[in-house]
Amino acid sequence: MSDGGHEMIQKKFLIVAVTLVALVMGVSISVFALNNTSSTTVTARLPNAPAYVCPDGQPAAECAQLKLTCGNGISDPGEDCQNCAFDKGCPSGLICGNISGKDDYICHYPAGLCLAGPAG
Amino acid sequence: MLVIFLFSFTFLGNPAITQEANKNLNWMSPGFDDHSTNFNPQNAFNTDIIATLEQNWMTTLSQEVVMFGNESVHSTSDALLANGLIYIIDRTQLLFAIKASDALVVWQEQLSVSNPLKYSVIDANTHARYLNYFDNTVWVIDLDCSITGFHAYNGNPVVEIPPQVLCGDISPESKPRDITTRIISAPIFYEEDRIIIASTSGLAPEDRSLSYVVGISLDTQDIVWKTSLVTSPGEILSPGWGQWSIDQEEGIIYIGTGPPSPEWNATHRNGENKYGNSIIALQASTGEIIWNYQTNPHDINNYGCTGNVILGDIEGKKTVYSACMNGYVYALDAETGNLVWYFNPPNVKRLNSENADFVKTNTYDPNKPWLNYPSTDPVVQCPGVFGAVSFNIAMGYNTIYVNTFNSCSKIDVSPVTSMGETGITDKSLLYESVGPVNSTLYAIDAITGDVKWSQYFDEIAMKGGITVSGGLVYIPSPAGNLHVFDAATGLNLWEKNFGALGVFYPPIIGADAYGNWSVIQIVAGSPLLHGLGEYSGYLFSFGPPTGLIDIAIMVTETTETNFTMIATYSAIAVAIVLLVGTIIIYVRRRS
Repeated sequence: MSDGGHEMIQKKFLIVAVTLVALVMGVSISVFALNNTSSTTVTARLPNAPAYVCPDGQPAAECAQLKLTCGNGISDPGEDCQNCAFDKGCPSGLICGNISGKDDYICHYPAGLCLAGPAG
Repeated sequence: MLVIFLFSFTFLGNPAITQEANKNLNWMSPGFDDHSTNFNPQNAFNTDIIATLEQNWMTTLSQEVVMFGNESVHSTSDALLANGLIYIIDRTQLLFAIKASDALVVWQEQLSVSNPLKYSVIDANTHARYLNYFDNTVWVIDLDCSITGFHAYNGNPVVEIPPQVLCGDISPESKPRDITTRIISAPIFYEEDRIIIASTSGLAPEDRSLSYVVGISLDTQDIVWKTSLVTSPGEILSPGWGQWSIDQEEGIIYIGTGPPSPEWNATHRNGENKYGNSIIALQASTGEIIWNYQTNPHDINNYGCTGNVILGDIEGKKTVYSACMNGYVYALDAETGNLVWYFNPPNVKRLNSENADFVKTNTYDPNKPWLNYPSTDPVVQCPGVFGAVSFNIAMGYNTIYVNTFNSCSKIDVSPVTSMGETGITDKSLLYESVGPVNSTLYAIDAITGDVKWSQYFDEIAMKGGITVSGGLVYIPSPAGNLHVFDAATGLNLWEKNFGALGVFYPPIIGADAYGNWSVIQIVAGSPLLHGLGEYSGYLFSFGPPTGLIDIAIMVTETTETNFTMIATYSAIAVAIVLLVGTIIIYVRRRS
């Protein structure tokens, strides 16, 4: 057999090998993903809820997630009264604020109201 | 490239929920739509359902303790409903976005508060005010003349137009003009040229005329045009509060104007006062006046055309409808301004108001200084100072619905020295009715002006607006009732009493975020206009029992999405890329 013939066989073998590797990888990862059922499920957004608008400076991943989840009427991980007021809005009389100095926003009574309250 | 490909592929596999385009789910303008009809054409919520209405929730409209300089308590605004959120200004100048499903607050913004360093009407009585919605933004003309657009979803100010643009430079020492009814309008929008059209209604000071309409660029916040509504330097009149109509196709706006001032003493303003008490068509892009129909030349009774101006389309013919405070309803050709018909409500009593009958008599006295000149004795005028129609009318099912009332007033005309005065000795007396008080709701054929049916109400003056939807007519009453009639026959189908606080604004009808139909009603929103004093206000939501009618829209996707699908799609994408690459290599080798 000539060198050209050997080379052709080697190339065909290489192509078949790469194809097999691709299929095995794809099937393996798919099986892994489908079996990995521990991740969070999210409820679809409500049919007449306002579209989520990502504010300037919001990380892309957070923006992408909130576009899927904010407006479904359920408190999903990563949502707070600041970034998703529709699902985590404050009851009447409370305001949304960052009182811990960290990144967590919660509903609380206005500071002035507490100071002026009966308890002083 | 691969990352972008994978990312987009992920979302292709998980499409956004598609919503049925149904504008009837929302009530986005004070008059429902650009044509200010106060008519929501939905029909799911109808005559068969109304008797089953149940209260969903109630919340207060004085939601902040009065402190920190917000001591002035005003009337609320009208309410809007867009994408499941209700927008409203409460009585302490807080603009709220509230979920229509459960009244939870999504965001709130404090509007202007008292500030001695700038002019405003914050410390004056405000009887009513409006909001509008455009471009995912809630629009407010604030009591300091500023115009602000708040992002509908998060409340962030998107556009802030300083007070000088609408009102000019007014001295901080200036006082608001003392007027009987102060209603602050909301801007309307000409979409093609992105122009905000704003009225100075209710904002004028004592010492300056704001007798104009302004077009402002939405993008640059500069004045594009300013159209004067007076013909001589000393003349003053207030534009109406609307809601005005806009024909987006033709680029024409239709506005109403108030009376010239001093309202009751015309000693220094002889003549017709051309643009007072008028319905006017203007080019939306330039402000040029196309036509002017003056209903009441040389008004000396304070009868403006200040309510809404409806643009109707009857059998392909565009027609403009408006009811002025003189009680007449006018139907005008939208193209020419020519009178098509007028309606003189038979139950409206008229006394010392001859110039108001111009449409009927075609004559008026251009030089009469006051009602009973030359006498200086007190005199009674009918309709009274609030007119025979004081708020908005509605149009639906080829029918005009108008609330008229009798509440005459005793006028004690005083000498005037400046145009900013009212010509009245004691304005507080104007709020007292003289003689019988009653109201009549008329349903008028929009084509002919003939009465289809009417409903009489004894001992109350129905000063509020009207909503029409689902074959029903909703009428609020100062006695605290919301009356609901069959739009076709006038039969009383439902009634709800909210106690002694009065109901002024008619309800709005739309859907919450879940697609559930709701009727949203403000109670005690404008107590000053009803003379009820400083009571709180409330917002109510009503709806049919669960399951009685279909929700407004259906979810067109599965209700759950699993994040692992993203990984699955990614794996498949990798495999496909490798396969494609392999095939390309193979084909190249073969060739």
